[in-house]
Amino acid sequence: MGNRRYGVALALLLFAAAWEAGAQTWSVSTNAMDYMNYGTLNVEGGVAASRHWSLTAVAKYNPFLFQNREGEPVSARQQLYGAGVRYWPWHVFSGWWAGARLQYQEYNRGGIRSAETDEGDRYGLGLSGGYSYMLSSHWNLDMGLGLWGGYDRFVTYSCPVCGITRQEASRLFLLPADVLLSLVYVF
Amino acid sequence: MCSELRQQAFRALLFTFLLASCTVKERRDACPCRLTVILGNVPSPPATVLVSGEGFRRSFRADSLLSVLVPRSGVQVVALAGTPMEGGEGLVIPEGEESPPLYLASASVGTDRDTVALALALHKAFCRLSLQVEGPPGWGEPYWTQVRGAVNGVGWDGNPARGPFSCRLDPGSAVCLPRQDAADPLWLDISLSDGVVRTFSLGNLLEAGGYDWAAPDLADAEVCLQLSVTALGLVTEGMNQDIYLQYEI
Repeated sequence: MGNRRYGVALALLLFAAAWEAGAQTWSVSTNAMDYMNYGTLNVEGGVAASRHWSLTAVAKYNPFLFQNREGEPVSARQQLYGAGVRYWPWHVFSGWWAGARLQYQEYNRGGIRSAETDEGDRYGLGLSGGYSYMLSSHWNLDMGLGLWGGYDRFVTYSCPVCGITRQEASRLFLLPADVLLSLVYVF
Repeated sequence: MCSELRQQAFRALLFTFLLASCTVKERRDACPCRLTVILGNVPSPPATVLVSGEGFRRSFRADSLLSVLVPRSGVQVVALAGTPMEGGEGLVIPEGEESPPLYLASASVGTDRDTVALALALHKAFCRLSLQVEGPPGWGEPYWTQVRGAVNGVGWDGNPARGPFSCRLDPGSAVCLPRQDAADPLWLDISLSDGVVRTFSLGNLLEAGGYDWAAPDLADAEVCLQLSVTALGLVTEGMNQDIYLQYEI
């Protein structure tokens, strides 16, 4: 918890510093694909640092516990925080882009395919790419795909609520990330 | 306009980051622990198993295996056999009755995990006390004897329960006494028709004879009261000792 707070605080400071340092253009977006992932709330902010570079910060939060048809709990809970950069070959917030991001995720996922539930903390680096389509002078539609990998410290339980501890371990991971279909507002 | 929107968006982002202090992991410290009790040396199944802990107190019946969900704050487990028991406050021996032939085991268990297994081997927790009285020539006046004590059962923690205990002990017969501490008083009364004429400190006599109330399995004992020579013969398992008294009727 302590490391996570320090990481979040650092990312926030960097982002706020760039934001307040006279950046002329910035954006805020939310990703529809995340809402389809058990209603994960999400927001991403972007600040143009130059014509081709922008800084980004993202937060996702899903505190919801659902029930399946049998009344058993289903959890895809997570909170994710990340900060990184995007490179725009043509111009910030327009056209193709490639991004890199440092990311932390606390997750609690189980009861979906089976009752078995993983809870853990992931730290890693994400790489992604996509295209930002200008809908109007202020609105963009952002599409993209990405991967992220790193270190995962986790515990596996026999069910989402209570249950037996099956495994407590750590591992390296490589997972899809940033399946983006985002609506972006550019200020 | 743009500046206001920008400030609000920044606040929303800040608020989202502050959510970092809330965990999405399930709080499992309030989940129960599955306790499995494996019973051994149960002379007459089923045994009664008393499980007590913080805000938790239940009794179960089991032959050799019991599986139960208990709080994670730790529990006390007491297994009793030799007497049927219907919950309540441990085992209470009614005044006037002897102890049942009780076999008992108890343990404190840490239950701060998902599962805990506990093996309990029951031990003999009663003393069968026999009384022999040899009277002087011409002795024939009707009399009767009883044992009195201050332990009348077993508590939820498996320790002796304090309360009045008494039961008649006729010469030539035997009664069962519950486990007690060496410091607990135990008396033998001899009564004639007009009341108690003499009281012996049976506890002291047993202690003087080397009787061990703390032994895992309690031994049986025999008291021989020789009124003619004012002597008590004390016989316990593996031990035979005469204790002479300054005593007259």
